[in-house]
Order: sequence, then structure tokens, then C-alpha cells
Amino acid sequence: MSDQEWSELWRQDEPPVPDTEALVRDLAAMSEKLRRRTRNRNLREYGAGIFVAAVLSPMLFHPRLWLVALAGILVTAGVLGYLWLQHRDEKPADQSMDSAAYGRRLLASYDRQIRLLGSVKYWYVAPIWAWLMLVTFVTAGGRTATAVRFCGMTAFCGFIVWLNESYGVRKLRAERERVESMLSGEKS
Amino acid sequence: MPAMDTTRFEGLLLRYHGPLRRLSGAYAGAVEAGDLFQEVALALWTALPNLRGESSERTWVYRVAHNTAISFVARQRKLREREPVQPPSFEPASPDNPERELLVDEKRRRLQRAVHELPLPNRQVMLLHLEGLSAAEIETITGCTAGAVATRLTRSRQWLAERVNHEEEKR
Repeated sequence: MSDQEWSELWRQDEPPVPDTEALVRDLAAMSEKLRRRTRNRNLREYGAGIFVAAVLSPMLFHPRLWLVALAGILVTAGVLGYLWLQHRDEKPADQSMDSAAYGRRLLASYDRQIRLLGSVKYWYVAPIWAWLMLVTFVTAGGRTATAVRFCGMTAFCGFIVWLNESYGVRKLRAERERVESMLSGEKS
Repeated sequence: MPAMDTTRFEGLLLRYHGPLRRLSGAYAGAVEAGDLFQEVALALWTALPNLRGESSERTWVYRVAHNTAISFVARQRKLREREPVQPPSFEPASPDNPERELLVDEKRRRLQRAVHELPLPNRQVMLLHLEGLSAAEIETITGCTAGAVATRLTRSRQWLAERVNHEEEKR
């Protein structure tokens, strides 16, 4: 068959024209829903930080716990500030760029997520661990109790690092590899 | 979106509805073609205010549609491991000459299946070629060089001829 014949055969499949007015209504609703969902996700993230700060603030006036409260507020502000900086650089992909550039952008977004998860021990777990240690020593009971709490919290933080860096990063890398092979045509 | 843009969007949908439906089927398969079509329409709706005279309307629409499809397929591939994607299947046209129409429908279905099974970069180039876009337009949309477009087209033609004719011989 010639190219012209393939093309004609392909274009013979002409689906019925849609009700564009109804489609526009649906799309406006979907677009609004998407906007609200993004706004709510951001509010939840920063709302959690504000909640922690609100809970710790009264403790700032406590003669023994003021340092714990201050450190907690600083850690929360630091983590949220770091996340905000990361999100600030994220711009929605321009859908009208050419496909090769779009594919590169898609892979770059995987790389960014992998970097963020891979460095979780520095910007998330380490400050929280330091704060938990401060809480442990400021509110310490006997030596054994302090040692148990120290080990328990350190193990918990270690688990969070493992979950992100080992499990999360591995999964993202595998996904990136699949997308890369799809874009290069190695897999259909 | 302002009323003028809504009218513009409706016009765009009417002009490109057929190609976008066919593109959705070729990328997403039968079951999810409707979902992809809706995502493409939403992407066009969102991006329309940015459409200026820098590129032609046709290349702009295809760029947005193909990029949305790439993201869709990337997400879909996670699910594919659990559930295989159904190749596109379309309703046969109501025939005046039933026997001949049936044969044409069958051939078209084979063509659609073969396009759906092409590796993604070749599928993209072939889809645009089948929709009647010029080599220069395909280069603008895909960001590939003229040489790469020509190579992909040659490979895809061979693939289509093999697949469609092979199935025909089997019958």
C-alpha cells in the first residue's frame, strides 16, 4: 500500500462530533477541581507546620522546656523553608514544547525527586533527630530510660532514612529507567 | 477562561476532534482512550491562553496532545505490569456494501493495532505522518532532526506492511 492509501485508511475512522458545550462545561469543572486539589495539598503541608508551631509556642514561656519549644519551631520552619525553596523552582511543564524537550523535562523531574528523597537524611531526618535528642536529654529520667529512648528514636530515624533512600529512591530509579527506555523506543 | 477563548476552544475541538480521538486510541489503547482524550482536551484548555502566533495552530495542538500522551503512557506503564493494555478497537462503520466495508474495517483495525504496537518514538512520527503532516511539521512537533524522522518513518512503514500483510495472509 502507498503512504496515501495508509493515510486515507487511517483517517476513515472519523468519530462523531462531540457536544462541545458539554465538554467545555466538564473541562471547566475539572480545571477548577485540579486547582483546588493543588491548593489543598499545599495548605495541608504548610498547615501541619503551623499546627506544630502553634502547639509548641505556649511552651516558649516554660522555664525548663523553652529550649525544646524554640528548637522545635526552628526545625519545623527549616524543613518547611527547604521544601518551599524546592517547590519554588518547580514550574509547570510547558505542554507546547517539542516532544524531545518535553521528554528531557520529564526525566529531569524524576532526577529532582530522586535527589530530594536521596538527601532526606540531611534536610529532614537529621534536624528532627537532633530535636528528639534534645527532648530526650531535657526531659530525661534515669540513665536506662534515657538510653532506651535514645536507641528507640535513633532506630526510628534510621528507618525513615532507609525507607526514603533505599526503598523510595530505588522505586523512582526503576520508574525513571522505564520511562527513559519508553522514550528512546527500546520498549514499546 | 474568557468567553472569546471558550469560543476559540470549541472551534479548535471541532477542527481537531477526529485526529485527537485517533491519537488517544493509538497511545492509550481501547479502554483508556476516552480518559486520554479528556486529558488532552484539558491540557489544550489550560494552555490555550498561551497560544500566540509563534507557531501554527496545527503544530501547537499536536505538540500539546503528544506531550500529554507521553505523560499519560508513562503513568499507564506502571499499571501495565499488572494489567495488559487493550489495543484500540473501533466500532465498524454502518455499511452500504456490507462485505467490502467489513474488509476495509478489518484492515483499518489491523492498521490501528499495528500503530499502537510501534515503539513510542516511531509511533509518534507515524501518527503525525498518517494524519497528513509534512516532514517539517513533524520535525517541529517532535524536536527530531530530518534524518531521524526519515529513519523512523522507514522503519514504521516496514513494520506496518509486515504486520498488516502478515495478518492478512494468516486469514
